[in-house]
Amino acid sequence: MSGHNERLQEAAEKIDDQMAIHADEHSPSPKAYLAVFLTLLCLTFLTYEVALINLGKWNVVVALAIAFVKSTLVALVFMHVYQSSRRTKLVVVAGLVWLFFLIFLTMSDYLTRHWLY
Amino acid sequence: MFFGGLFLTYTVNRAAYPGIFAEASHHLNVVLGTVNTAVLICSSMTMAMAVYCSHKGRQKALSIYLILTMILGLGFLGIKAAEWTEHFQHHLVPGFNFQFSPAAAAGPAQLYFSLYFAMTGMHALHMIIGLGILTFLLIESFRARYTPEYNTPVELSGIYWHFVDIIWIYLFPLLYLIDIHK
Repeated sequence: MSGHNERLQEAAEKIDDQMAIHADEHSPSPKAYLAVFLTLLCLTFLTYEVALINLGKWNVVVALAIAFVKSTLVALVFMHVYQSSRRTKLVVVAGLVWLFFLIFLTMSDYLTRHWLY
Repeated sequence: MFFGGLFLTYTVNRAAYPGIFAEASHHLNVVLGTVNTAVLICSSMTMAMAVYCSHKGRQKALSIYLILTMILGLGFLGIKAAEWTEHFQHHLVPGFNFQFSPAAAAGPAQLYFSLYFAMTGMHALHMIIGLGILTFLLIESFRARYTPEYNTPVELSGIYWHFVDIIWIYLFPLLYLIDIHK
């Protein structure tokens, strides 16, 4: 019986070790963080510079596109979504989908009201 | 989703009063806003490094990165407070002797500044809560509580901090940038 327990313990330790290695592999390196950090700073500067140019309607689009790239980088690398499970990724996307519903449906009401009157 | 409601309200009202919202946004200090964005991104970087160090069991580096994150977070709030002070001095706070020219635009302009204060204020509140969490983490890290086996509180606080960063990443262009060319 004691031999059985020992074997169990050994197996458990092995799994622990594997998980530790696993977790280690999937943690982004400081190099990746630094790359994202510098990209974010460049994009901040870029979005400021572009905002000074008159692009008409496209100013909003460009500003939000840059913001989207920035937030995606933060979520994927800083928040570790990139190496998270598929379920976690699904939760992230689901949140964005609900936000899309909220804004899209409300705006499709407000922006079309004058069609009727 | 909570901030989603605020973003939605902003979108609806900006669609209704595009000209006045643009005019009102010209009263913000874009340079301070840009600097503050950079400060917040730096704090996200130090937070990411704090989480990394907690995974690696580097106790001392973890404490240092937490302190740096707090300093940058306080720096952000300090700059934000300076901006708010400026708005008070320029009579741009709705309800407190609000003055805007042309006077006919004062209504929607108050709407813009109400949303501005609600959104940046709610964001700042999240930062203050974040600083409280970081204080707790710092005390615990001094006690060497976080190891490569147990660091979930650091990991989760990191995710919270980065989320607050993401909110600002959208607030900054929407409130400061999109109409400055006009």
